[in-house]
Amino acid sequence: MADMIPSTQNPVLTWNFSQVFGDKASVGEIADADIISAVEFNHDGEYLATGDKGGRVVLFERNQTQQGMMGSDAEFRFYTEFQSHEPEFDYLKSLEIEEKINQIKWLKQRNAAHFLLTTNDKTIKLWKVSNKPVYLDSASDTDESVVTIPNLRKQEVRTDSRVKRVFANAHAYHINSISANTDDETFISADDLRVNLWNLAVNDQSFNIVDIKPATMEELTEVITSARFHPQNCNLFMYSSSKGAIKLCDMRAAALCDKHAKSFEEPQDPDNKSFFSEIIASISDVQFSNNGRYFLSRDYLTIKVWDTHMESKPVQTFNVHDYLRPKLCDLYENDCIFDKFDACWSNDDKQILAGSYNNLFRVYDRVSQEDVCLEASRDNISGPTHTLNPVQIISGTTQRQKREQIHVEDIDYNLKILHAAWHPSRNILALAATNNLYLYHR
Amino acid sequence: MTDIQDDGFIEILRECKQLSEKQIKALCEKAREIFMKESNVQPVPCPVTVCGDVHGQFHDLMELFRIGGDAPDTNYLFMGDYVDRGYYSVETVSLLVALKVRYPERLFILRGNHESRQITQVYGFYDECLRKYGSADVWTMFTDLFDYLPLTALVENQIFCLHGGLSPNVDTLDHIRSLDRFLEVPHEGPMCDLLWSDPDDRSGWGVSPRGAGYTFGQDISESFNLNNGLTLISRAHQLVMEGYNWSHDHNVVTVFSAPNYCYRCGNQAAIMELDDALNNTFLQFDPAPRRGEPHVTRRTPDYFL
Amino acid sequence: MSDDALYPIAVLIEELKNEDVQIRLNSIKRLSTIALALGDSRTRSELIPFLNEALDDEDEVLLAISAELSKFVPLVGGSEFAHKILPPLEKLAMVEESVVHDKAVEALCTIGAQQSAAHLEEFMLPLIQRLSSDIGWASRVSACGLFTIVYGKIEAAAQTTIKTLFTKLCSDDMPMVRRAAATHIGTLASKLTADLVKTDLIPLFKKLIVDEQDNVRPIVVKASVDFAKRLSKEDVTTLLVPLLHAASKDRSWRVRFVVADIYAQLQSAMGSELSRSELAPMLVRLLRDQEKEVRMAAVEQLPQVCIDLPQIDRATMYTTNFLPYIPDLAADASQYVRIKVAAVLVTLTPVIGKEKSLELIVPLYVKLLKDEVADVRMSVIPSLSALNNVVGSDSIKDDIIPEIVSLAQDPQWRVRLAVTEQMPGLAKALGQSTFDTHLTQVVLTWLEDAVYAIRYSTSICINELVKIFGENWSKKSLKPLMQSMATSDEYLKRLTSLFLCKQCSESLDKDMVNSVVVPLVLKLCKDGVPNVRFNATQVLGAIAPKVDKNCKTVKPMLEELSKDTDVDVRFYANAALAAY
Repeated sequence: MADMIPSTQNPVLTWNFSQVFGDKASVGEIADADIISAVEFNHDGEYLATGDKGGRVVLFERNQTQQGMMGSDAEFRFYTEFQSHEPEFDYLKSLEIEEKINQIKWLKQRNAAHFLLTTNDKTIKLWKVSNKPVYLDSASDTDESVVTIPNLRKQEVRTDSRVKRVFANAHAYHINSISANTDDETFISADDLRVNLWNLAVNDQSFNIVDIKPATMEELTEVITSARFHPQNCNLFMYSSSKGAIKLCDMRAAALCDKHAKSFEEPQDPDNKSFFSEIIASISDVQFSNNGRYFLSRDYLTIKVWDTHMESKPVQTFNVHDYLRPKLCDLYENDCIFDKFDACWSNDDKQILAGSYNNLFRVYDRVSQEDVCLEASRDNISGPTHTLNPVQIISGTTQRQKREQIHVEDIDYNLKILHAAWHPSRNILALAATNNLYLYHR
Repeated sequence: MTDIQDDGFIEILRECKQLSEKQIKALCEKAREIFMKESNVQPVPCPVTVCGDVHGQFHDLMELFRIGGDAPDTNYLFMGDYVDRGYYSVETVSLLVALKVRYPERLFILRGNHESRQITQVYGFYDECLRKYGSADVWTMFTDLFDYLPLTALVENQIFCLHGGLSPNVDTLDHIRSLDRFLEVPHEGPMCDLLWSDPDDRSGWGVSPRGAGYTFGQDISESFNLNNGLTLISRAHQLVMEGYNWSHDHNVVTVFSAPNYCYRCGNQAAIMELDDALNNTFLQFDPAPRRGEPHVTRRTPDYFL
Repeated sequence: MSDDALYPIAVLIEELKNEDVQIRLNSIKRLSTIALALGDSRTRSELIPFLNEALDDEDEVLLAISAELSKFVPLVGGSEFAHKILPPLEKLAMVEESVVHDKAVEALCTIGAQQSAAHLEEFMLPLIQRLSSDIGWASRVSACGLFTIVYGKIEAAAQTTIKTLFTKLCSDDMPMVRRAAATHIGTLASKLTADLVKTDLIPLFKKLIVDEQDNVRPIVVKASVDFAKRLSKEDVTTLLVPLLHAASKDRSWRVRFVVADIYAQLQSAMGSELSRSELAPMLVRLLRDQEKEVRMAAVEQLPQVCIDLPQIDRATMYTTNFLPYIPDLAADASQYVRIKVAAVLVTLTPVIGKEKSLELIVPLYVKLLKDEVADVRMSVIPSLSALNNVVGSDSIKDDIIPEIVSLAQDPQWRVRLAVTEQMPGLAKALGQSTFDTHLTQVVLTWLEDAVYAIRYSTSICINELVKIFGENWSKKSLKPLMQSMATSDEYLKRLTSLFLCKQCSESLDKDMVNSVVVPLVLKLCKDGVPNVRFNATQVLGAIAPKVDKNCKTVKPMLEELSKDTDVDVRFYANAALAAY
């Protein structure tokens, strides 16, 4: 059954193109280092950060001075760029450590400066980005008989990015997530088996609050895939597992959080069990709703909405690309089945964004239960309104008749939207499609 | 005695503090003079305590001294691999060299495969020098000094000590004595093999999985010991869980002195005490309680209380 | 001042803007010198404005500037000009790095303490106002630390402003600001009159102690000690105690932890009467808390709690309230709790008396000495001699001595080390005859321990034993062992006999030195092992003051060894010769 294109498109699912950053190049020509691996808005949405496989972090700031060319206020412009991580070598394990940025988290703004946490597989760094005045001192008088105090004149203002603290050597496995706490003082970092709690001011000690490592590695059945702090309650955090479970932990209950407060898991449907069941059940990302009551979990084929008050099953489940179910064999062969897609809430928690292949992304409206599938592309912008046309996926013997139709067999698995972010107060989307950053607005 | 310097450097280094670049330079110059005079097969009298890899685990080296005794009261023979991997290569090698300069007759240090320019650029010593001194100068001084380290030692003409193992190109100690050792560890040849080879259960010579040196069987060890009038080959180079390990029917012993190697292997460390009658006693030890690595703890740190 | 004298100052000033942080830092650290050379007028008009401009720098430089400026009041011309120093410090108080703004606040407090009330109102108050309302969160954090300078020291009208400002900060949007307010509310309470505390601060305290943020509540709980000290008994009972009870049942273990952690302080602030009725049930609850960190903190309070109680109350307080929970705590699932119990157990014995101690404490003590975790065993050992003082040597013998003997052979060398360190104390407590019967042999056996640190520590221990037991003991117990070790075939024993002589050179009497040590050491001066020879020379150096003046053998021996084949023997022989 092919999806239907809504005849009168729901205005809350109508998206307009704003901008695209990055070179226009075909997939084969893209340098690996340029592939975007993290996208994150800051707390007021005035800034946007991207990280890439080359270890770079690029910051954009919202264009406030003039209305954007497209008539929207959703435009961003380049602000600054810095090299956050370099390729390294782990002397203790004789392993190469990639410079790829796995996650970026903005800290709440304290003053004119910005603080960001960035992480690769092993090392978390705290960056400070600020505007620094450059001084020029007046020609210094070297007359030995008169002591003069130099006169400093402010010459210009330069954006300065410097690393304030490095949190290293605390993870035996690869770091998959970092999350800053609302207490403005601590953050957590998670690897395959452990969650560590850090104080932002202390980098030589880390408190290992969750450890799921079994006595022997043969007993290992699940790993931690992501972890997040609650958006309001500084005691609560959750982590997801490769088995499709999400644990909610309360740091008030005990110093060590090995015992969780709640566990959210949907019983597996025994009829649907296959070789791939476990792989596709693995949760790639969890995200609390902005109001903190709900959270999203993203697995390979679906995105689920959970109520923190109901552990037994999700309140809503959306299929992101169910048409890929018959293709799992191919996706296993080409490793795509292990792709990790982000989960994303809208600013008002009413909509959900999920990325897919072929640079497609889907937006769900939880109120109307409608959804729309769109393609991030430079050339599907229709006319002057720049409104994106919904895309229809067709399968089987159905022939492609319209430009907006894509046949399942034609889906390009090299194009994927793994990382996306929703503006914290506006309907602005930022999507990473390989080396390009697309911005859309409504 | 004009040759003996004061203890200043040693006291600084025992606190795990760094020397200045200038002090390192002076230290290395002094040490080079001493090493230059030592033989490729340096004769070592007993009693002596024989130690294996240390790998920058400074706090565990201090533990080793607590177990085995301080220099100069205890004589030591270290069989290489002072740097790389651990977080305190600079402090570790500085202390050992400072002790050598102060007590040249009490302490002997041989060259390991990590005492090389090429290896230290990959496994941490280079980066550590850069980080701690802001330039590679200290690394250059030490790696230049490493070229002068003796390759092997011979305790009372009976126990042959070296970092790695035997070489198919070397049959006699005299052959080793004739090598020109004042150079970077080559990729092949006798000098490379002595620092890279490992004993193996299979007899004869084998290809080493390390990509340098060889594996050698019990037959090789036996005939080498017989031909050279030796009772034992003592070597390091390999992690052994108990800290020491006999092989080749007591013709070879491996001694490894870095407990919980790389801060995660969970192994014990050991040292081999040889007394004045060449009787051996192995002392095993665990990591020092205060470790150098960043602390990931299951105890609530103070700043969360 | 002559031109020559000014030149170094010019260099220092030049270096204030050097590229190299270290050089900049060096000149910053000599700001006082620069200011002194410039004189107060130029310091005010030129140096301070310069510093104010140059404040964009590395943290360590900024820290040094604060530290220097805090000493600047005399350098700007005395307290009437103190306000001239404020602008750069105000800027530093706005820097987000906490070490930097904390240091600036410290400096501002130092300077504020030297200002007149009029100047405080004219200059410090506006500064606090600016920081309190700054959008920068660091500024508001800093502001919280400055109220102690002005509160209660300025005119009533301005006092209202201050109160409003602080009230606002206590309900700031940013948790870090509320945290800072909570951190300083205690200090503020300790500086204000009881009336002001009650009217102005208690409402804020009440608000903060139920703050939704977990990391604000623990901090304000800490301040309750200061409040308890300022308030009347009645106010404590009605205002404070209910809040503390609530805190001791807080959902968050970190809050309960703080209540446990400050318990002894609270008790001493409230007095024993209130403690007995109001606080004791709280500590009992905390001793049984579900979180180990809380139990640990509660256990840690017990010794101090005991000291602070009036003599007559102690025994009853303990036996009825706390003692029943000690056995469970000594068997706690967490080794860290057992470590704490092990450390405090003996301090309970004087309180409950000998009988009860024998019945309740000693069995627990013996159990902890046998704990499977070495750190627990090590935590009990330091109190061995104290236990003996309380329960008397007769009872300790049967229960404890067998455990000590077995700990003396503990596989963990650090446990053995801890036991060696307890021996002198035990020797004093047990007396020579009991000690000789049970423990002397244990001590002497350690001299042959495989671990050097044990042999070394034992030689120190024996030196102490000689001091305690005297000449006869050394002749009887030490002499035969010294002699047999010195003539051993094993060089390590010969060496150890010398370590022993070296350590005991202080305690052994002249006769023992000349009749036993000298002949023994002279023999070892001819040992085949150089390490033995140079240790022998070291002993000769150490015992020099006690060696018979007529001795004709020592000096020639050292002279001979100063020409030894071994370089270290020559070195130490020469060093020893200096003593003769």
